[in-house]
Amino acid sequence: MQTLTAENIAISFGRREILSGVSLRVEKGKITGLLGRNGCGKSTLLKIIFGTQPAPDKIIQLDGKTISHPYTIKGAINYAPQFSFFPKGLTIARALKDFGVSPEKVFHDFPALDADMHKTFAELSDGIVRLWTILTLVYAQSHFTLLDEPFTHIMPLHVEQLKEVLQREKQNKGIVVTDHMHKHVTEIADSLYIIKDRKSLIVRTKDDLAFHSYIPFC
Amino acid sequence: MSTLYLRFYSSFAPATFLVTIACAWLYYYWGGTTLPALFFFKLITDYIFWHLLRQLNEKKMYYYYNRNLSKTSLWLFAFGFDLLLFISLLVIIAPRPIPI
Repeated sequence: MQTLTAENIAISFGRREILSGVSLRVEKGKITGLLGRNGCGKSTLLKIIFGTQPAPDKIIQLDGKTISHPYTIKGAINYAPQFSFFPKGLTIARALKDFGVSPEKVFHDFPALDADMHKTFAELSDGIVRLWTILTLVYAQSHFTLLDEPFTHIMPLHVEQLKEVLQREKQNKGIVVTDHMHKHVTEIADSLYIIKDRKSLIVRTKDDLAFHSYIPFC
Repeated sequence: MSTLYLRFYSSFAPATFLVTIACAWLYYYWGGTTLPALFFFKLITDYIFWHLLRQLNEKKMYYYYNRNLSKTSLWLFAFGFDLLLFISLLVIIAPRPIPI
């Protein structure tokens, strides 16, 4: 699989229209950044693309083939929501095995995480759980990975290492990253979108972000 | 894959199994006439448990979604497996006629 496209995405919650006519294109070998104000629908868009959020209007395609629930296709897509989803009693070693991730691969990039291998998610701090969640999905074999706020709660040293991992792993997959730490997102993204007024807009320069009132003019 | 289904089921199995045990106990002491009512009670309580769990445990579902398991397949397995346990237990403890 080379491309994941989302077109004509529209969703409302009650009378509140969240997204209308949103489009996004994700390519293997690239990181796609997604920015937008709080509550603009970034997480909802990722869930719709993943297939767990029903939407009245949506066209999700993998290599041009329309798929209603991409997450049910083995090896197609995985998604890290903002919260931890691993069962608390699960050990890190078991989680890695479940997702077919080699521990050596993780320790090569994050040697300090070796000590966590036989701990359960309940025994780890929120930041480390977040890091393990992101790493597990990024290293897992899937054609596309959607990351909702991957840098939040993670300490600066690990953020820098994580960015390097994302840059390297994009060779094997297409990655979507959304985070309010926009400097990290703009630094690693090969293409960038912003959601504003329920639409997705392509961002080409930093000035575009200021123009769309996402960051202040400098 | 079946391990994942069982792991999902085990997250709420203690609650549903308690109902199964209670139903089995009632069936053992009150006999076959209670069977339709117990069956109906079991279905209703299962629905209530799973409805509550869907509300409270939605975040944890992403572990299974990321393993390509759909919501429908998870609930169908859990419901089917729980019903199978329920019926099996009733068959095992069913009062038998005393041989003359």
